Amino acid sequence: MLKTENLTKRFGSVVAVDDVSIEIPEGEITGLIGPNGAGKTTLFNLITGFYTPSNGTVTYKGEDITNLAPHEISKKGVSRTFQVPKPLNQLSVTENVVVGALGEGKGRQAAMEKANDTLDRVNFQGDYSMTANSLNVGQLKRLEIAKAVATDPDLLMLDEAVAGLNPDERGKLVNVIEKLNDQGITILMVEHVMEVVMGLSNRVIVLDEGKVLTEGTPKEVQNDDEVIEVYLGT
Amino acid sequence: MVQADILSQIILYGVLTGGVYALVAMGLSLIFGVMDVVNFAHGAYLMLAMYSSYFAWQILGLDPFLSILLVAPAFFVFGVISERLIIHPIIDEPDFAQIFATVGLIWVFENFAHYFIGTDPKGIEAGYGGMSLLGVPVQEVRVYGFVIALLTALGMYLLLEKTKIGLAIRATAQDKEAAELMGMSSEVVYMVTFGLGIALVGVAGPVMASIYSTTPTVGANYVLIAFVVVVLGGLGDVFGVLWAGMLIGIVDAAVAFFYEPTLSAPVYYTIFIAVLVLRATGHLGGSDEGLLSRIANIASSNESS
Amino acid sequence: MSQKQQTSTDSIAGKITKAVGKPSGYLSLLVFLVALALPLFATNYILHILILVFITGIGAIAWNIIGGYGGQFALGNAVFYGFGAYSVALLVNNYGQSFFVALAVGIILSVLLAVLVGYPTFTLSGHYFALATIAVVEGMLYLVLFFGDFTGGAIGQSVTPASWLADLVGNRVIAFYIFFAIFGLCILISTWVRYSKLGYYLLAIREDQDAAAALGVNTTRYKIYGFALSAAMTALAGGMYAVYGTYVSPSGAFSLDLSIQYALITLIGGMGTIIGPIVGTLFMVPIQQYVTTVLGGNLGSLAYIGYGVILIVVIIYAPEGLVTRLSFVREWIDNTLPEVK
Ligand SMILES: Nc1ncnc2c1ncn2[C@@H]1O[C@H](COP(=O)(O)OP(=O)(O)O)[C@@H](O)[C@H]1O
Ligand SMILES: [Mg+2]
Repeated sequence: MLKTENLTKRFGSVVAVDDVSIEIPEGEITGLIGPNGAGKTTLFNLITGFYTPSNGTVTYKGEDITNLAPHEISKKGVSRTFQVPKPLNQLSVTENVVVGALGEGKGRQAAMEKANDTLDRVNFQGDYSMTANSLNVGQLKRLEIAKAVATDPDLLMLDEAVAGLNPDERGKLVNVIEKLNDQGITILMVEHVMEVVMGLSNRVIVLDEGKVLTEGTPKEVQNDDEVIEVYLGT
Repeated sequence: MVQADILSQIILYGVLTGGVYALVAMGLSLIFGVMDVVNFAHGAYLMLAMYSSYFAWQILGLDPFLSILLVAPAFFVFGVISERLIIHPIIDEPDFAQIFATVGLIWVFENFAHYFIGTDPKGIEAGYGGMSLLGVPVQEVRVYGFVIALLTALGMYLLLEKTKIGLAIRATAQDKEAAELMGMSSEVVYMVTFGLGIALVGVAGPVMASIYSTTPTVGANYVLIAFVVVVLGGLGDVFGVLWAGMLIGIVDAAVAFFYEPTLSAPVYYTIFIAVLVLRATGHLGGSDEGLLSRIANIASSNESS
Repeated sequence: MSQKQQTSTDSIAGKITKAVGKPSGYLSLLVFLVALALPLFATNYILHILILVFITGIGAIAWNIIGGYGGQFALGNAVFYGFGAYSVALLVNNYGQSFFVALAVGIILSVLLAVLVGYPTFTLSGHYFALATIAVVEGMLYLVLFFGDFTGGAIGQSVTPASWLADLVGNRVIAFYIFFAIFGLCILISTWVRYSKLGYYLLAIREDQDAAAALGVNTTRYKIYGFALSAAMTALAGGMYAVYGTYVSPSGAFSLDLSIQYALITLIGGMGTIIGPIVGTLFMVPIQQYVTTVLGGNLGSLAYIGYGVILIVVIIYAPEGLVTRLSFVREWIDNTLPEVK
């Protein structure tokens, strides 16, 4: 579904993403792991058009999307969340999601309804008319997902969606992600919590110092010596 | 065809005036570049500095160029106090807060001058006359002003490149968080930067006052030129600002000579917008880089390839 | 568990009855009716001030669309006011065009200019947009002076509209109703925008440009739309002023001060709220009239020092504006006065 070829991003002398060629198969959940600073977020920014690659291409459903703007890529059906959630602070929870739901030439009323449905879908707990600047971490993380889901993505990219949540909340959110995948959304997720990635993913890609270290099923990756070294070594 | 001597006159005159424009713009560029604050009150500070020099001459009989030694340090302190009282509380607020706060300062300063000094133009008669430079007759004050602009640019360059505080300022401008991790307090750096920026106004004010007469609204005439110079020359780039100032000075002089003085303003605003257009379409690199240093970069990379 | 935000499909009539039933609702209606009846007892001078309130208010409402909803700091909106005013003055006087044609030309030119300025600068950081808009208004001022033969130069130009129009706006009472109606229309437009796609996109851009882009918002395009709408409304205010004031001057029309005032009024009232610019105008314009015409001269400048200090204090301590600050008044009214069914 999504393919990167020789994708590279340099910041001055730092090579944050280094010659990355990966493929995200349709319908699956793909995990993307790697130590802090491995280049996971930068890879997200490259795919979604927030950064221009120094080299390489991104192909989505056979179409070259390397030089498209973020909003164009979103319109194609690739939606992402941000590692540090970006709520629209002065707007209500519903209105936050409405912005994403308005895309398809929908009227305000229809978009409002869709926004509320989407919030139900991600199991948002709390009053939908609260302003976003009064939310707690758990609510922010769910709102971040709801915003992205409201754009009707075929590929949803989650950057540390469950980070900072307690195990109980984490478990609930995992169920939400599984459900979204069951409903036909392909998922690429960056995650630090091993049990979450290993439990959810069909395949896992390991990034280290900008390069793809290895990829495979959760089991293969867990038994890979290099991966163990990278994680124990840091 | 334009005669060669007229052309050289225009260029000489433009370069001299442009040097002074650059002097006015240096403080603005420093503050914008390091703190990401656009000081809209820059012209109002300039006006106060011009009056300071005028009163130093009128009351103490001090030569305007000598009064720099008094005005510049005083304005450094003035700048530090302003930063603590007005800029510091809103440094992390959205852009509009800084714009409004500094616009508020313009009203305070201008109307202060209006109420206590009045609207009569004040000129300094320090006894400077004309002289001949490369066979072209020019006012002495313009030549001295130009020299002071050059010396100030050089001084700023040395301060930024060769001193510890200069290093801290550059590091903070590059990456505030990283600089703080290395033990440089951005709070202190911002205080000093704003102080230095206003001290530069304290240098420019006396020079301006020796050439032009001062009124409460005189600053507005020059602050927009200063913005144009800064955008052309680059943020925090001392020599870039100097070149850009001279360029604007020459454009100014040429338009004034061939057409009419009132047209020079639209011409450099057009240049200003054109530069923004080129930047936005990606032809001139990042928004913080000076046009001239960018061209120099392109030129040198062509050479090396 | 989860409470949904009101998406009720009540009939519109039902909604209106409900809104008017609330104390703040029927009090607003009362204020509106009193305003309608004002010409019956107000002096011509007061009507004149109110007309100025409406004209300035339109500019502030327009500014709020790009500055308040969109968070884009336009500091040159007077240039559109100037385009509206000068189009009417020049086309009606020198080319014998009808007022409506002239006004339309002013509005179209303003929209074109907004696109021209917005397109390059909206992709750069916020400061550059503010600076570019200042450059445009100052540059236009000089151009108007330079082409003095055509524009009337520094002195300006008097405007002689067709006699039917002159008669209409020459009558203060009729003029009051005309401007009140246009003011009301602009409030409706602003309210409609707030809850339209354009409004939501502008708010999203203001809150977080990257988040907006990730949600599929073409940020540059919607900023341009907002700016163009703002420009059109400001040009309308300028064109209307030209026939009412029967005189246009470059320093009054292409004025940086006026541009800043639009922003200031909105800030004082409450940026990004629908009624912020309205409250700000009602509060500021009469004070300004008093300061400039009654105090005048030297005392006036003393008042402006106070103005500047207040502005700085407001921005540091109460940047959310009067509307938010005074929202407790509305709550108090709603809680103490009885509801009407
Ligand atoms: N905008 C940027 N400018 C400079 N360096 C950056 C930028 N973004 C990321 N980096 C660098 O790229 C590397 C990868 O960062 P990131 O992609 O955030 O890692 P991860 O998400 O895997 O923790 C880090 O060394 C980081 O410092
Ligand atoms: Mg990351």
